[in-house]
Amino acid sequence: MPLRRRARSRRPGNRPASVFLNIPYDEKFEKLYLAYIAGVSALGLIPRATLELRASVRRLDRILALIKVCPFALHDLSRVELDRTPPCTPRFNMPFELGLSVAWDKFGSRPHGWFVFEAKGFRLAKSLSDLSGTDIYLHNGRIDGVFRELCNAFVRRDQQPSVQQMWRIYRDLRKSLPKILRTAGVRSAFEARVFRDVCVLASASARRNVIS
Amino acid sequence: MADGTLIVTPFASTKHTAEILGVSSSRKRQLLRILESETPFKQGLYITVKPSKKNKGARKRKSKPLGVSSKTWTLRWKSSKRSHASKKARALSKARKSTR
Repeated sequence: MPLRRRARSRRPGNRPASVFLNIPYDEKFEKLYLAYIAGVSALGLIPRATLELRASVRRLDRILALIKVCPFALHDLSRVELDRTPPCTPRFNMPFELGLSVAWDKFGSRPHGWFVFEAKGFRLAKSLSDLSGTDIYLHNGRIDGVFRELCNAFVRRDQQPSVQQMWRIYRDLRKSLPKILRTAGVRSAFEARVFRDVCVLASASARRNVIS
Repeated sequence: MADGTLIVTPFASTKHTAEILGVSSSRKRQLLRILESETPFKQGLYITVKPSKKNKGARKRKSKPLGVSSKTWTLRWKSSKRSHASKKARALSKARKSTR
C-alpha cells in the first residue's frame, strides 16, 4: 500500500507546476516582480527564476535547466529598451530566453507553454515581428494589469483566483519585504535568498487567501 | 484573445514550494511567523477598546475581517501614560483661543 502511494505521488500530474519567470532584474521593475510572484502563487503555481540557482553553474545552463523543468514560462519584454549607461545597448537577454522557450516548446520532449507580456501595445510588432500572430498580454506596466493578464492566460477549474485575492497576496509581500531584506542583509529584492523567501511567503499567503 | 491555459496540476502548498526552492523548514516557519505578524490588523473593521486596568493599560483591538469570526487581540505595546495634554497645556490653548 505505501509503495502504491509513493508511485502515485511521483506522477507529474500530481505535483504542482512551476512557472519560469523571464523578467528584468532592476529596481524599477520591483513592483511588477512582486506582482508576478503574487499572481503566479495565487494560481497555485511555483515561480522560478534564474536568480535562485547556484552561481557556480554557467548562466546559460541554469536558464536551460529551468526551462526544461517548468511546464510554463512567462516572458516580460516590457524593458527591451536602450539603457543610459554608455555604450547604450538594448537588453537582449529576455528575447533570447523567449527564443529558448519557444525552441523547447517545438523540439523538447515535454509540453511547454510560453506567454509573452508587454507594457505597450504594438511595440512588440515592431521590435519582434517574428511573433506576429501570437497573443501578447498587455499589462501597461501596472500591477493590476499583470494580475488581469495572468487571469487571462491561466484558468484553474476548481480554485480560480480573483484579482482582489492577488492584491491581498501582493500586499502581504509588500509588507513583509523590508523584514525579509533586513534578515538577508541586502537592499535589493533581486537576490537569490530574497526571491526564495518571497516565493514561500507568497505561497503561504495564497493558501490563506485563495483556498480558505 | 485565446482562451486561458487550463492548469490541471494541484495547488502548490507552502511545503512543496519550500522544497522545490530549497528553503529549509526552519526558515519556512520564520517566514510564516512574519506573515502571521502582519495579518491580524491588515483588513476588516477595527474597534479600539478602552485600555483595561487588568493588563496595565495595554490596548485591546477588535478586528473582524469579512467572513471570519471576530477576535480580540491585545497589542504588545503599552499605551502612553499621557492620554491627553496636561492641564497646563490645555489652559494655555484655551486662553489662546479666547484671545483670538
